[in-house]
Amino acid sequence: MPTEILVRTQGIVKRYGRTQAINGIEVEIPKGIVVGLVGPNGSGKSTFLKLLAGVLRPDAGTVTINGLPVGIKTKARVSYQPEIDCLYDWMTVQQVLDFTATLVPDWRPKRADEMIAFLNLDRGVKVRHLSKGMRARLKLVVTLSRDADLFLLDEPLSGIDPPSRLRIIKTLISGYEAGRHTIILSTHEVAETEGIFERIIFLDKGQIKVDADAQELRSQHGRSIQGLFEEVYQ
Amino acid sequence: MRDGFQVKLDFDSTRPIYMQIIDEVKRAVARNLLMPGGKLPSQRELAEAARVNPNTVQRAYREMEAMGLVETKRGEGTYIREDDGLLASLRGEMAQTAVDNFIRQVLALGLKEAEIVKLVTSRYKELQNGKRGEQDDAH
Amino acid sequence: MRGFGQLFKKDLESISLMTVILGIGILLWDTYFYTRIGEWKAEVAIIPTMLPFGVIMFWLVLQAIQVYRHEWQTGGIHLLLALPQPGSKIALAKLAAVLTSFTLNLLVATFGFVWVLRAGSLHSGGVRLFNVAMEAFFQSREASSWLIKIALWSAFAYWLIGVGTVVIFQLVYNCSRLTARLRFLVGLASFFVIQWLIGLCGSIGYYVFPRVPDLVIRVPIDTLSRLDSAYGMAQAPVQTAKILINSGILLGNALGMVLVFLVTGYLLQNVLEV
Repeated sequence: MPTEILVRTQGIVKRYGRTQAINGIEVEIPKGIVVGLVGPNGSGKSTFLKLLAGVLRPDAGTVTINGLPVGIKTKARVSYQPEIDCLYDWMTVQQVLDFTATLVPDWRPKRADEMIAFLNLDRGVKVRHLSKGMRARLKLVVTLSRDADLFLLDEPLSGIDPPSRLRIIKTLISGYEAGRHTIILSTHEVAETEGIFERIIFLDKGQIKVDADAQELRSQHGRSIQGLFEEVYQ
Repeated sequence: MRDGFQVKLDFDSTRPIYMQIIDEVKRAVARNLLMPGGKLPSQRELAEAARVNPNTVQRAYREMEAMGLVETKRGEGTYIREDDGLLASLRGEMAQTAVDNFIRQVLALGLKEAEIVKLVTSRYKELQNGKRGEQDDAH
Repeated sequence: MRGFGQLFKKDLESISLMTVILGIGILLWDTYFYTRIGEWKAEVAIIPTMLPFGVIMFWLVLQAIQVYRHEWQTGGIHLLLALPQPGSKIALAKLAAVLTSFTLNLLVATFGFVWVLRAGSLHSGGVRLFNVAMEAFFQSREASSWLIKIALWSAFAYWLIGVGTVVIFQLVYNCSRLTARLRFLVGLASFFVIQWLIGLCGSIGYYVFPRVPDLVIRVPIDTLSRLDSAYGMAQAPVQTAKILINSGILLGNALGMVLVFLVTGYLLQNVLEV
């Protein structure tokens, strides 16, 4: 199968004051796979995704998506879900959808409706009245209703109740079109998402520690990625 | 998802996930949880239920088709092949795996071939008697 | 401009509480002085109702900043910067939202001022300016219509100053966002630099646009006395003084403002981070 490179980073560096968040990452990610971005807190996962989304700019090095430097053109093909609460809390669920729908070029209203139904979201409720799990569900709807090339999900399960986690994972799988969609999902708890990863990138202190095929890693070590993760970082 | 057929995966195993999925289907057929001619869940259903990548499930289905375990009817779905020999060969294969595992374990304990055979024979009788006893009690 | 309406609505909502608070505050303030008419001299009740025009300008600075600050407060900046939208569009929506709020409160303040002025004039009987102005407004008598003209022109000038203030302070705030530390000092420094730049643009404009005709404001020097003494004599010829304003400088300043706005958009699109 010919592999088309979707994301390419060359020697990217990002500092916050004196802290080096990303320290020279070189990576090529082909189109159409699910990548697990794994590492402890502060390893640079969020920063890496933000650089790809274009909400942070690298201090050195380059990031290209579809061969283009990160900018308006790439943002039109990238759907980014931040870890933090990023939805305006005075909007209703419906207003959040309307807002995003007109500002991105690839909104799929049908897909949004399906997910709203499956995730039991009430369109009339204000974001500030939603529980944390429900807000996480809504964020996922906003992210996955787009027909983007690249989906960047920053800790989509972190601090969420188990029923929400389960539904979020199922939603991810149900909408995923293999070969066409590329997902990079960061997490520090691998167990629940282990099965969907095809490739694993372990980050530590802003650098790539391991970058390998998920199945090869398991077969080599006879351990789950979760097990390896615990072994590597503890 | 079909009644009774559920996929359990072990990520700590060296056995690739797609092969584990095939194993699960074989086991379900051998135990009559999936009948020849019966329909398998769609690839996406199975991916969602087992929480694995659709690519992985696709690979498992492709391999199963190649080995003649299932057949895909375009636009309808994937079915267990109706093949009289299939069930027998699956059972044979699974029995062989079970016996192989057993032999490996007892060899590790230092038993010799004759001892193993003797042990199997005596345990078999005892277990059968026990079973008959249970059935008698039930009557 | 697909999506502009959504951006504008969102930005207006983020400062709506501030708008309502100021609007109600102005009305309460004016109402208080309205009730003082008859107890105090009319002028003493009327003059404080001009104060809101100053407060609005101060409020405008806060709103210009708040409409951006809101993004970092809510985390919305993560979505905003990830959107495939040009920075100038995002900046324009924010500018439009603040100016809408500004215009609304300007109307409220004008209404309150006219309300108290009218009541005060009617009550005291001595201050006829109001009635004269109103009459002039409908009959457009030469001398007294000057009052209306000057009022409208100063309102427009005041509004333009408001626009400039918003544009400047929005860039100031975005500049302060470029650093993690000493944001206030960075903002303050950028404020002075921007002021200097706009002044510079004015000077350049003076040389670049020498042919643009000057703005002429005619001030009727004897109008006030005529109006006051002879209510019916307003049709008499009026002596005027001319004030000339160099259009080149104004044009330069205006282009400077456009530049400041474009820089804000550029920062949003290419430099600012979450």
